Amino acid sequence: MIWRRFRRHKAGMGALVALVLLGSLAAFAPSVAPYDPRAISRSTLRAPCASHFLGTDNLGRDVSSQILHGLRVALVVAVAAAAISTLAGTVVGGVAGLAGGPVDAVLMRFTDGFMVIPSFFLILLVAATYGSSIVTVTVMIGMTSWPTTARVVRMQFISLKEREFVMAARAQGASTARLMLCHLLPNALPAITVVAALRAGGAVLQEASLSFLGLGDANVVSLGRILMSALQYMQLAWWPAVFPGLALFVIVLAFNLFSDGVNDALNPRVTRKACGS
Amino acid sequence: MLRYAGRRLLQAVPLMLLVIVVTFTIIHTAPGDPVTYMYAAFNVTAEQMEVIRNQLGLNDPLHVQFLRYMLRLLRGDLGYSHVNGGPVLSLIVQRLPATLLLSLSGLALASLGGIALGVAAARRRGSITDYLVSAVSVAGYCMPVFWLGIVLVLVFAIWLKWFPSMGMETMRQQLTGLARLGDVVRHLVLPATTLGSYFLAEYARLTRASMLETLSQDFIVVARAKGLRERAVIWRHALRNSLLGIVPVLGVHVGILLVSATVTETVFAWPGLGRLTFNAVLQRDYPLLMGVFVFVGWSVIAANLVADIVCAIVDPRVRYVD
Repeated sequence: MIWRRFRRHKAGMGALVALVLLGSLAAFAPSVAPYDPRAISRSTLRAPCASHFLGTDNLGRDVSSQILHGLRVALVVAVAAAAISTLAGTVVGGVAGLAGGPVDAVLMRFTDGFMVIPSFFLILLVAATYGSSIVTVTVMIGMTSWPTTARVVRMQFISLKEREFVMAARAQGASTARLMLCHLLPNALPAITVVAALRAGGAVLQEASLSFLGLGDANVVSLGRILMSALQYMQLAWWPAVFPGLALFVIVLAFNLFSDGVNDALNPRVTRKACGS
Repeated sequence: MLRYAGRRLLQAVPLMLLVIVVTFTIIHTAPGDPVTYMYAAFNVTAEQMEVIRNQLGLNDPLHVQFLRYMLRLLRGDLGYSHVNGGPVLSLIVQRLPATLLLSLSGLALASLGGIALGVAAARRRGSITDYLVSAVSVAGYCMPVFWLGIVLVLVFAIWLKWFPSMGMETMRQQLTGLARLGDVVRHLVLPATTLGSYFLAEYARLTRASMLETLSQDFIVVARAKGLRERAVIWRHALRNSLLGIVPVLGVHVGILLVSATVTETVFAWPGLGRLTFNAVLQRDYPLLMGVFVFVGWSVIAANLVADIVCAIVDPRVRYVD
């Protein structure tokens, strides 16, 4: 039903296709990329041409190969961080929504408090002091972005648990765990997808900003870090400064449009977006 | 009203303490110590390093260090920077005006532009204008801030040479009075636009949504029915009521604003707090880092508090929600 409506949503479908394409490009980056992204060569700062179609950087590395490998890192961070954040948010929001009463009040106070914390600076601080391996960065991004998901899941559970089919299941003696996993969660899944896709886009931006500030993992090719070094010789070469950013923009745009598409398919009449979400 | 404000203030206090505890714990349990890092390049023996550590109190147990920090904090003393020796508080205060100038101009651009775009879109729903505004706001939302900055520098500073690409003032000549003001403004245009882009998108989107809702309400129909000019209906009646919907998110925006400022200042070498943070991170200047993060955390909490209270003043219903 939702899928049928989603299929008619042009931007959403386009975004899904783009995501699948980007995903396969990233997955096969080592074979698709024309060069080794780290291979230094003598042809430095070459403008886009036939052999380097996005040019080379100051060390003669091929920009297109760097972007393809950077894409890989960006997508892995996006998916992993969104998964962590969704899992944490679903657990907190689900328990709060299902339990209600004082448990709900305590958990929501905690969530509200967490929302106020400037998460990017917290990640920055941890990356600066504990080192910024890609795992640390991803886990931190995931662990600081769950409150929105928790709120959405809680609202979903609160409205779902009064429905007849949940009451029927409860009357049949279904356990709380069964209610949550088999009845509430599947019905809340589309709404969770909407937030998760937004989180994925946000995670890409956060990782890129962190790398741009020089706090990314130095052992992986990151789009943010290519841009950071491109800043130094921008007077001489525009291509390493433009294309990686364009790639970032496309990834984030795709995640956002996909999220919009699912959202519109979910609430066909509601065209107004929730404030501040 | 006062009771509501007081309660919100009380709720903020534990959060402010939490910011200090978390920042302190992260910094002081981090692997590697600042003394080794600072003096590794110099010819300093292990014993001398031990003396420095003792002097800085880094060998005391964590809770003693924490208590000492708290006591000094109560006296308004944020400690001294390890790297350049100056008091942390004055380093922050020195950099604050540049960041405020940048952020406020960015926000001003964004709110003027965003509200105008949002109103234009809402007035002609479904038109090309509406479509374009939506496209701009989605783009602004997904654009990495620093990349927008880079592209602006490329186009307007390097290719067209309309604006300078970095810094806040021209260093080569000493300008005074109006000439200096003009110089700063010229330096401000690109970074402020970069910083404002995200907020422009956000305000356009929020204003549009909020205006559409307001415009469908009865009092607008009445205003039109009694023959008010369309301009008065839109700007005086609809917009004023729509702006209420934007107030609550302003608090959250201060957090995002500080992030955008850090990144923007890095692109444009703008001498503000963001640069200070960036350098403190690179040089592992722990007291400075500690000061900056406590400052940032408190600003965000304070901004949320103010936004909540303003919300309660303009919309009395909020006070009774919890």
